[in-house]
Amino acid sequence: MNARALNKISTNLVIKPASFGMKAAVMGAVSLILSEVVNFNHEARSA
Amino acid sequence: MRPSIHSATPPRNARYINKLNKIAVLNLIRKTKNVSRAEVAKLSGLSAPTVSRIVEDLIKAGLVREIGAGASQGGRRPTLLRFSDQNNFIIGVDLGTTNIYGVLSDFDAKIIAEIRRPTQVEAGFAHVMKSTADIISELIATPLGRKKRIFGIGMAVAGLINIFSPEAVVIGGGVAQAGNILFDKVR
Repeated sequence: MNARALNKISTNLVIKPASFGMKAAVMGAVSLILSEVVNFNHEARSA
Repeated sequence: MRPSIHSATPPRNARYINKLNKIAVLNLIRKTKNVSRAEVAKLSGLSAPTVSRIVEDLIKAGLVREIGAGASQGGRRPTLLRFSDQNNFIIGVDLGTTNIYGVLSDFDAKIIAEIRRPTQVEAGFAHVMKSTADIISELIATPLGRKKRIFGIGMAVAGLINIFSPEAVVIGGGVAQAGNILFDKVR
């Protein structure tokens, strides 16, 4: 990342393993929907 | 003409205020497990009738349930409320270049069922979409998936997404109408 992109931003960047591991992406997909539900955005769309 | 900064701000009307109050009440019930209507009113600063009306809406929507009577504070025992995290499900799909990984999850992010299949990108876009739709259909067809309410399907995709066209997914530089294919299959 330092060599190819965002070198100023990534100088002090620490890369840590995702706490969900290999399930991080799928849990992100689930949280997208949960966020829509608890913020009632789905109601605005279906109205 | 310069775009107005006000165009992005939400409308300040009764419906919007009601939505904010619903969000506040639902989040309080989520975070404060086993809570009464009176406690929600006290914690949120909303009036008791407003909380009661919102709670009735949330119960009707299946997001909150009554779980029984709590301890008396001197008068009638209050009815306790709880977020319906185990009665509502979400499907999540990680559409990766190696595997398609689908899960059926409750609102507490507990995975109830999972399916993982090779993506087989070399078989073409239609094949990948069919595999994804099959996984979603199979998760819906699981005993709990059939029994419970599925609020939505979230997808994580390796690549760029055109957010202005919710039905279009950009994979490997090509744009395809993934949404239509998936939803037709799921229906």
